[in-house]
Amino acid sequence: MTLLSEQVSRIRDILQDTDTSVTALSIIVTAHQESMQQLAREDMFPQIQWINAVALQGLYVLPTPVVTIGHVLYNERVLRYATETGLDRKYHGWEDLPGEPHYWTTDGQNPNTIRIVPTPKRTGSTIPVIPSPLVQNMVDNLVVFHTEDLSSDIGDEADVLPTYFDWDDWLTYHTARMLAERETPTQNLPVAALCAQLAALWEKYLR
Amino acid sequence: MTLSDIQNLVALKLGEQSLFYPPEEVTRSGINPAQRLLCLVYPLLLTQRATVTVDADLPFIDLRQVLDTDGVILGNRIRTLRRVVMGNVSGDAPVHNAATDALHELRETTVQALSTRANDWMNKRGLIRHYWKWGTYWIGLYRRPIVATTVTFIYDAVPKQLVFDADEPQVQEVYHRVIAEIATGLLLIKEGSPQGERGLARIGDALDLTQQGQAR
Repeated sequence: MTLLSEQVSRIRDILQDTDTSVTALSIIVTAHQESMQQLAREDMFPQIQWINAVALQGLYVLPTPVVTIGHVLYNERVLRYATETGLDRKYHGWEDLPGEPHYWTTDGQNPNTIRIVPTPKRTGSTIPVIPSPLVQNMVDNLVVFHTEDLSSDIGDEADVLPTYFDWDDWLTYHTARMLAERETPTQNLPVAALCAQLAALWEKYLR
Repeated sequence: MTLSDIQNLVALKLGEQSLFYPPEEVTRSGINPAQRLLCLVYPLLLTQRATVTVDADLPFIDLRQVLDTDGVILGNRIRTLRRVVMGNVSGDAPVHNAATDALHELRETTVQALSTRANDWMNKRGLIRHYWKWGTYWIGLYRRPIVATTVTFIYDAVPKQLVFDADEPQVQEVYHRVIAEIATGLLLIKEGSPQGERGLARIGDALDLTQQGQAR
């Protein structure tokens, strides 16, 4: 977890880039976000999210950065993943079935949307509970174990990257490679190739 | 060796070109990544312990919210969790967990395994025998502690950033010159071909620790 500004400085060191203009910074940050998204697609940023369950509400829209959902709890109990086909076999009219939730699905739903089946009959408390990493009460509420993409949150030089130091190193070389091989007058393919080898070296030991 | 000593050594290896390789760049892009790479390749060079108290009924902890004894976010120091032990075993005299008098190793499990075992695993409180992880930062005890519980994490650590001239790397002194050699290789990368390629070769050679101390 280093500051974006430190990463930018390291990338500039490698590229011998002395242009500190806003435009140049934006190019580096955009490339860096692309590198981070590659990690996000590989589920590198796990998160646990609390969601307020509302009586008779089955559909819940998760925050935009959610990438993959691993597990869902309702009222501190496991909900099982079910496909639409499986739910069709089990219940008639399962979309309109109130009760104690047993299943969750993303099958046939909009992106970042989960459906809880049956829909809960109770609304969970939103009164904060201290201490708790989630701050909120898990009783009669949803807790989602998922991974996320934080790249869009990393745009300001004062932002802290959500990765380990080791992955910060990987990000530096990966982004430097992308920038060095751009089709521009400053293209530097030898440096791009070396950065790719360094990123591969880090990756070999990180996985 | 201090950071200042290692900077000087790297400068010598680079031909004392302080304009092309200013000291701040040597530290930022050379020495700090070099010591991380060394510990990444040889994790046993830096194994550490940290004691954490998990409050009663807490379902899990976020290691990004826990500080180590140096005031650094613990989540940033733990590369791989090797063991979790009930009680405080970070010092010479082990301290049993106060409420349960326990001093034993916890077995690792997963959210998947717990979910398969019981629907209400998150709801269970009582005797603690396992710990689970979600990603790199979230750790929970199974079952949830009824009283405040002390556990010790034993982990492969990411070395502390070197910032001040008098800072010393946490790995043994015999490896400090290896850090300087790797740092030199990393810094040469910006020169492209052929110096950068030679830099990469230097990194490979330096990471072969059987060559440690070999004069260049």
